[in-house]
Amino acid sequence: MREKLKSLRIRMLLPVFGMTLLIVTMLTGVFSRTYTRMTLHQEQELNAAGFETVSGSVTPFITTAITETRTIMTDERIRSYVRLQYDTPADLIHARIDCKEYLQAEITRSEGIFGLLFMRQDGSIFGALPEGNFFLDDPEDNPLPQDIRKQIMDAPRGQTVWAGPISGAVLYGFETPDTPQHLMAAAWKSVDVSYGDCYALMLIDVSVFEQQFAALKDQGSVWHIFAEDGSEIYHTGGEVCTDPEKLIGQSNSGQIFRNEKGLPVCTFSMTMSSPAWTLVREVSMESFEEVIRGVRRSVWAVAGLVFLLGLAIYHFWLGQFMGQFNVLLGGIVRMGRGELQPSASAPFSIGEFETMKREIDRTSLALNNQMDTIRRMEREQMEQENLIREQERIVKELTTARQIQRSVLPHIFPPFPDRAEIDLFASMDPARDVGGDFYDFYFVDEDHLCLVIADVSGKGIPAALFMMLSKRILEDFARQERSAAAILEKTNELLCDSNQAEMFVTVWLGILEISTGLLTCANAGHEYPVIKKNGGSFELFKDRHGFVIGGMEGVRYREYTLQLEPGDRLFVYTDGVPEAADASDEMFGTDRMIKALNSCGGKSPEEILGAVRSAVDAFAGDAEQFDDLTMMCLEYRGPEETGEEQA
Amino acid sequence: MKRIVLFFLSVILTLTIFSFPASADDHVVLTIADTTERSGNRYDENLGMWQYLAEKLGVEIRYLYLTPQEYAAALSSGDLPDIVATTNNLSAILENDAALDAGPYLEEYAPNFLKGEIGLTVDVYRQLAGEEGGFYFFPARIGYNGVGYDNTTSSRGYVVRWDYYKELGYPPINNEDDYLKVLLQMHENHPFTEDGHPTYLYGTDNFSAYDTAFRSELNLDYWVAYKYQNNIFTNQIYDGYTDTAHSMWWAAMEWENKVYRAGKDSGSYDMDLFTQDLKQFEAKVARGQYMGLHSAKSNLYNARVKEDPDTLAGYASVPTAATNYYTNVYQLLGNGPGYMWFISQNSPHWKEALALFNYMADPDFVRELTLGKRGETWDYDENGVPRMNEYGQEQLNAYKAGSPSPDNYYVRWGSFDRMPSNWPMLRDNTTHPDGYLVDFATISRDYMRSTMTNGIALDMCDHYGVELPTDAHYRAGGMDFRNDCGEAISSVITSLDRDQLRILSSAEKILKDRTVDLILAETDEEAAAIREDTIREINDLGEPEVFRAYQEKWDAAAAVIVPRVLQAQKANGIQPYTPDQYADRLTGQTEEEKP
Repeated sequence: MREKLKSLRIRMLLPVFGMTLLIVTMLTGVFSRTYTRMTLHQEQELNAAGFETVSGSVTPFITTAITETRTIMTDERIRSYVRLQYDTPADLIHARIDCKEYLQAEITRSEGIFGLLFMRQDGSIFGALPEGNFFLDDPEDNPLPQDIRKQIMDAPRGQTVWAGPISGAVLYGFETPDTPQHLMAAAWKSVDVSYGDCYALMLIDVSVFEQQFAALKDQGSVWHIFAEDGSEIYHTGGEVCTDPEKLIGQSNSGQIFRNEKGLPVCTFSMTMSSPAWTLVREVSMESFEEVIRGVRRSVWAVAGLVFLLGLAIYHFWLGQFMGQFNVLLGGIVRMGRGELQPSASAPFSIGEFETMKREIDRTSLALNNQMDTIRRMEREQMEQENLIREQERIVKELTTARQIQRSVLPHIFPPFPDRAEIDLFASMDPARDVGGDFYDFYFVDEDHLCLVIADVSGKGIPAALFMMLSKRILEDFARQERSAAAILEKTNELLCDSNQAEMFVTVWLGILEISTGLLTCANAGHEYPVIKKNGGSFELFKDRHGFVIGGMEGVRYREYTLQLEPGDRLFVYTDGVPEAADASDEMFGTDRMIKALNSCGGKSPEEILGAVRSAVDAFAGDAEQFDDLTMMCLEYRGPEETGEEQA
Repeated sequence: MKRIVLFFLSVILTLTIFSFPASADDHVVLTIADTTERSGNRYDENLGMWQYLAEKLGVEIRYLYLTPQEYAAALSSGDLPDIVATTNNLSAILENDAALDAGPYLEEYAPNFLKGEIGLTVDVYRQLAGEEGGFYFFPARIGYNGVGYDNTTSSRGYVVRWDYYKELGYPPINNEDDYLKVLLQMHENHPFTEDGHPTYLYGTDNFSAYDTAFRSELNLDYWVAYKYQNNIFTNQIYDGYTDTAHSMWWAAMEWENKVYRAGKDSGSYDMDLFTQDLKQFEAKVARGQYMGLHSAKSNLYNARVKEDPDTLAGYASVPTAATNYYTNVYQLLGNGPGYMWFISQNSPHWKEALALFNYMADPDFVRELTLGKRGETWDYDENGVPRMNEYGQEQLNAYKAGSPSPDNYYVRWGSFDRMPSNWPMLRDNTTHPDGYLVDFATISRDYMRSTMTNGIALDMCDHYGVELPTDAHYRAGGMDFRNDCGEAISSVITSLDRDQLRILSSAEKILKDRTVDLILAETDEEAAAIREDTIREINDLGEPEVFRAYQEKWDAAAAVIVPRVLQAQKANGIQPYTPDQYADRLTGQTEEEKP
């Protein structure tokens, strides 16, 4: 019996110990979560400032450099050397010297351009860098790595791709203390085919970003820039990141994780608009973890003291209790022997003992219930956190998808600075989810510019994928055909063949002959285009719609032509514009759209799109944007202004 | 009370009056300012040599640097340090009356400037300055630019990739045709380097470099204005623009054209020579891609010797009678107007400054600056021969072996390459009155021989059976620059006027523009036509009149300088060449071409 009582004494200690453990765990948990929230909140504020500063300086810096390169590329010395038609070796060398001196001067003058290279279709290359001039007319001598060459040559005409990083030592074939380690090349295929296909490579030395990051005075963090393909372009301090997926994938999750060196870090990221590089800030959480560990140690120390004190009190109380209990047991034993006279010293009656037992049972039950409740709450909390994490992951993936989707659209304006015959601007303001709107434009030959605007049915990832597919197929056929209707028909056939998701896309497509202004168009279920004749006002051109693309096999499309005169403007859009709704669900409508367009007077295409967007915003007020707003505007200036090209 | 206060005040006043002048007199701070920032610790006044000098002068020496702005401001205000180094603007210094005319004080405070070889220098200045002129500027480092024996190979002449040249059996090269033949053969044997890079006949980073041509009658003189050149034996001046028989530039064009025509079909002429960056050129040199170079460079040897200490991959000049070895050049006016010193007109310590210059022109003191204090590292033996002692030799060997410890005597003292490059007035390779060189320890044939480690130099000595590469050159019939006074003469000629400079600038542009056409001319007729056109254009500019004006000044200066340089050469035991010795070289003709 006495042994059982001892066992009971130990068993009664366990809940006390358990409670202490629970309280400590809860206290440290609450502290950790609160402290994490506070810390991350502070970091978020730093992020906002840092991201804005860096992207606000890098983007214009690069845009300026690209624009300057486009101008440089049109210089006659460059064009002439691309053609490579010289009678004598002396003529060739004179041309090289002219080119070299011109390029070196431009590189010295320009803040952002590290070097300029021009690659012909056959892979031969020429250009200038600070430590070397290249006139490698034999493609075999091209020092660019094959994968980078392919990446550049695969880029569609009119689109800028970023290739790299390229080591300066690879280009030069030697290395000096001045040789840069990481060069990035912004490359594009020239639109001026008069001197053959040629790729321009504007090289920047990523170490120029040092100034931007130094200005942040954020020495506690490591900043990384990653290219669109995930390769690291630049980082401050530290070492090269070999696992960018982890760094980017865990960013903005509020999670602390171990980086490549096993150190606790938290990362934040944003994708820049142009170029679409990812900027990642890696914040060391070592001091943060040190604080948490310190607090945990303190809580444990206090809990240990409280526990020991409680244990002493409990021991004292139990000693008293067991003394009385032993007296009671002695009485029971005596009663068993037939000594029915209660002892004068017995403190409890039998009834009191039973009551006490019931109380103990009840307390034990209550404790068990309490433990169950705590366990259930913990389980629910964990499920909730998993759910939130999953939602965040989905949101992040959608954001990435949206960025990818935007990045495939031409986004450098003016897109054809050496073509004075046209001015073109387009924009896509996506709604919250990824959608299927897109615009596209490209020269299919020197004299024909293809314009496309389209809207894929549905939303989300499926629509985005269908949009990418449609865009690609349309471009492929546009480069083969000169008939707008034929392009749509062939695209329809191909999409119907493989359209198991039963999605469709509305498309308006036009091919503008630059030399004449003749615009050949076809419409597959898309919104009416809007035309403004020079001196007139914007008006809907109610063309005859064909059936949507991807909806039914064998559909024929009607082709029509519009004669554009110098000064005429064309505006095409997706349904997101007229169907933008205000808080009372009233739609913006084509009337308001036309009114907004006509308020623009002689403004440029970029200003026109800005005005329409402002009008839509003013109308919609606080109502959430439901659909993508996609617009494209072309001003035809006519062939007579292309003197430089023709000369 | 009042009396007590007055008593203390008078005591204080008395102490003040007598103490201040005394301390001012005791402590003189001599300030020396340099207008060119120099790297390293050469100008550290804590170096042993400066402290030694300060001790001798009884002053404290402080070295200062003046930025160009500070210098200009100090010059216009007259508030200059006691001694100032200047690299230019001599006329501005005189116009501002900033420099002390030291002439009247030399005898009393700097008598060393009136003795020996420096005496000749001062004499030249006085002769050229005329009656009104003074002695304002102290030239630095008078003496030899190279002595007639050296353990390194020459950098100019028929430079070849030595390992390939050795493979051919060291064929003699007596003229450009021989040279081209050798280069072609080397290229044929090695169209690619060991690393697979294509090879080329000949490389240069400067088509108009004077040392591009090898003809022995053509001198290179970097100090002569533009393309005016002097003959190193006669010190006559030639017009390098139009005198095609004596012009380095025209000779260089002919040579380059010859190389082009020899290599164009096989692709062995490097067309990148016209456009490549200097670093690209040097990378090709370091890879050994050129069979010959216009000037030997060490990139290839330095790169290969790390892998193979016995390597012969490197560039060296072939010993031959057809080139002149750039040595025994006596710089009578030191480093010339490119670097001179003057004492500030307002200096309160001009006597101490003159005393400092006097020490710097004293062969005894310069020997101590170079080799350490007499008695500490060296001394005279019982026969009056200066010799290093055991400690001094050990410290010297450790220093010359490279990477000496900071405790090394010569590191602490500030000798050799730690000595400020424009002190002292005398070079360490001039002859001391005791008959030995100022630096008797490291400038000697024995020392050169014992420290010769360059594999190519050793191979050259082995093949030609000589002690030093220089010997191979002299044995082959080569001559040196002992008669040359071009640098000294040009440094005392006043600038041409603005119009004359404009004409020369235009002439330079014409030559630059024609370089490509001349080098890439496909026939002799084409090259001749371009040459005639070019010379006609330059003549039309009026360049010959500019040359005549320059020639007059040149001849006047040469009349003063040449005899004194030859006198200094003799004093140093070097006999100038006689007309008989160099007669064959004046025509520019090869042996076969001579009538």
